[in-house]
Amino acid sequence: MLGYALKRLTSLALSLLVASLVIFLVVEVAPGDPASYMLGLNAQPDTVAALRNELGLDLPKWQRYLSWLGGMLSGDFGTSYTYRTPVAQMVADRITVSLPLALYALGLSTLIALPAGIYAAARRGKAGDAAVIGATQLGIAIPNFWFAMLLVLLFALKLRWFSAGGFPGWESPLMALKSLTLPAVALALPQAAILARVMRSSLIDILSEDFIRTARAKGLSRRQALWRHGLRNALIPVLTILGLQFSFLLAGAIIIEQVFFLPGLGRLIFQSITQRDLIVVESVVMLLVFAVIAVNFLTDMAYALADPRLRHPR
Amino acid sequence: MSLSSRQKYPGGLGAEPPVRQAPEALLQVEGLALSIGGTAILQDVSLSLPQGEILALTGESGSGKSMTALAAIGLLPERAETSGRLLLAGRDLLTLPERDLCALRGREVGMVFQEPMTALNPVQRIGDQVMETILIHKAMGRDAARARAVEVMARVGLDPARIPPTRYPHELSGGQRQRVGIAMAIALRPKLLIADEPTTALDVTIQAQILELLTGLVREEGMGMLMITHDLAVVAGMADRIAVMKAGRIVEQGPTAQVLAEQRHPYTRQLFEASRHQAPLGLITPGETLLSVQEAVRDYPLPRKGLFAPRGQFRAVKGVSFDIRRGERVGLVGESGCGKSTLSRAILGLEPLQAGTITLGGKPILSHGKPDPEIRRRVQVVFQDPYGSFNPRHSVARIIAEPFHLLPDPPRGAARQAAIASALTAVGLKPEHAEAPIHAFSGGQRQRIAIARALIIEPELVIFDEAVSALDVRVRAQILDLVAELSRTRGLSYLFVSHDLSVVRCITDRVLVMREGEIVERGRTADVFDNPEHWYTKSLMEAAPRLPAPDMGGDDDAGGEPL
Repeated sequence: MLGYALKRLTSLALSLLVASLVIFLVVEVAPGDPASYMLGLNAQPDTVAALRNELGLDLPKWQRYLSWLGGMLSGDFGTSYTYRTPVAQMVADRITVSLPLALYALGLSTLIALPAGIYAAARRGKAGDAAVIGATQLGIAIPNFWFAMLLVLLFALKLRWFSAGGFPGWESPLMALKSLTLPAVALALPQAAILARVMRSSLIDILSEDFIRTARAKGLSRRQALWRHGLRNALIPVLTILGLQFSFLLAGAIIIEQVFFLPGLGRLIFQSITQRDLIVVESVVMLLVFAVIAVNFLTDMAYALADPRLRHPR
Repeated sequence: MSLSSRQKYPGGLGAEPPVRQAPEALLQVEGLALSIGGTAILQDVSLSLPQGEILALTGESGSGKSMTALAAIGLLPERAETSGRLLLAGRDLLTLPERDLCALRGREVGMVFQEPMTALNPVQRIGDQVMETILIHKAMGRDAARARAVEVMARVGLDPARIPPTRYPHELSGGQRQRVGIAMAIALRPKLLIADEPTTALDVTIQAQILELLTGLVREEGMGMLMITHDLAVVAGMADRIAVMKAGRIVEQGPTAQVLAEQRHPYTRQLFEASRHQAPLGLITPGETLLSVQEAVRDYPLPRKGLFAPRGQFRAVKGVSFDIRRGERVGLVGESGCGKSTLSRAILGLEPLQAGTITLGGKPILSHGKPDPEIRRRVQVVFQDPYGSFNPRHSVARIIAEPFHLLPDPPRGAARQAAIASALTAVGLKPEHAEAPIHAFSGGQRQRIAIARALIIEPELVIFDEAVSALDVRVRAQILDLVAELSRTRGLSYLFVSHDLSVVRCITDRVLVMREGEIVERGRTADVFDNPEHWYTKSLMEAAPRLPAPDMGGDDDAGGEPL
């Protein structure tokens, strides 16, 4: 298990290094000079040059890459060109919205998807199964931003149970959670639909395995065989999708954060791109990449917990 | 359900007069018929198994023997419609509600399945899986159940010091896994043990051990055993009674000795003849050396133990040398993992060698790590699985014509059609079969198609890699006859790779016995089989179940023809 974890950690570190290089290069070749953008169209060339010097933009590329990388390792993400505040501070503010939102949505989607998938697999070919399949079809087909607007129309404007947008901060955790509920539902449902399908088909595959028949021959009922022998084996592909979904929820919340006016990472990155605030873009993208890779690492660890064949290879 | 439930049904249907029911019959099947979606699977099956006896149910694949076994443990498919009676200790399983069936499975009937590699839950410890049989029936507390699990695992030959109950299935060999399967089935000392082809997937020496274990359990614990097998030799050695099934009916049954001696039904006779089939090989005069394997070595890298630990090597083939001369028919036998498949893949140029050479007609098979097409087309192969080794979307013609891509100038148009037609005719099929899709053919026909594919570019050497292992005995005999005929008429040389000694005996002139990557014995087939020299060959011959000679009747130890 330890060797397995070490191997995964090494590959995690290498992936991060490669990702940082790619992000730096992509942002470098993107058009638009932050200094001239900040000073406006009528700026004098020497003013621009001075600002470029102040921001460190005139250094050679490799030097800027190394100082950016070194800074990140020591927790210094640089200073925003536009706001002149530390990027770390900006990200820290935003992540208190985005991370809880992603976790909330992930929790909701798992809570809906796993029972629905198990229910459908246990009643394969019957009415309950057909109903779950139909619902997931709908969930996959509906775009989440449109679904979000429907939620706002119904629950915020008509019923007035929730506010239509904005975020009150974490001073009152209950209010904060309440304001995250509609966005989380909008994010979670399409994910839940996919996850439920994966759960269903994976469990159906497992239920036709020989060892389920063995379990039944030992005297387990259909239901006992499903819970005791089917589920854990069926969870392995589900974990894969779950890992992929978390990254999506974190990064893919950009649109939902726009719809609900949430001050999250998605909005930050959107604004930074329009303002050529390259250092913020780089750092936030790097952070998202880190989150994705870290979640993949956790998924790998979860595999090993679920499947002893990975822990002690023969 | 608890023990008391047994006593609730003393003798079962007391009101009705017992219908030709022997007083001590543990399992009594009367006029069982079964259909699924209108298709009749079983018709008028009647069987009787007394306590403490072994009843063997034999027949070819699709004859309904496994379905009968599933009926006897109440695990029939949901859509199955049944009639007749199936009494276990007086209770009719066909009418018992699911709840009672659950209480009965594992406690009163235990079942061992064919495939030990997939019959265990891969993510659960073996001890827990054995213990589950006890716990699910609430037969004892957790600690007592754990102790009983250890005891029963020791009983089936899993030494707790070597194979502790904390192991996972993937850490065990096939034979050890089958022992776990048996431990699960007998943990609660059921009255009836059903074994569905329990040794078909195992090597011959392991098969002998498992059969001995099963017979011993039945005799010592006083269980009844219903043994499902296609292998008549296995049946002859252990069963008290035999029932022969064909197309969902029982065509003959009786005491083993009597059935073996009388063989009243023609189908029984056919089965027996096919089992001791000798293909008409004819005499050949070997020509010059065709294939030459010299000191062949094949290593596989092992996974790293640690992050920076050096990679270990597993030597699958350890410096093997042999020749095949033109026209010769050579067998390669050995148990799984002995390196025979690796060796045959190397001869086909599919695997590189770490040392040594393989040449065909004096030229190396691999030149600069790539197969030389000039040489490569002179060797063809027929694989084991007639279902998995064809692309299911292709027509027969396309499948057969596949090796043409090895030719510099493949035939086209009419010449191509003619080649396909003649290959099909050579293997006993008709030219008009060419356009049919592959799924329209049975296993035996598919194996003929595989041989046609190997023959179409007229190779000098064909490798048969377990080519008849998946076939029923009667079909197997036909395919072996075909192979023998091709060798007589075309002078075909072949290497016949198999774990099945009786097959190798009937189809080869010379044999090589392989063990742990080395050839431990070689010689004329008849000599090696009749007077094995190496201890390993001897143990193989002893372990192989054998049919008694026809004139000796049912006397198991009458010797007769070995294999």
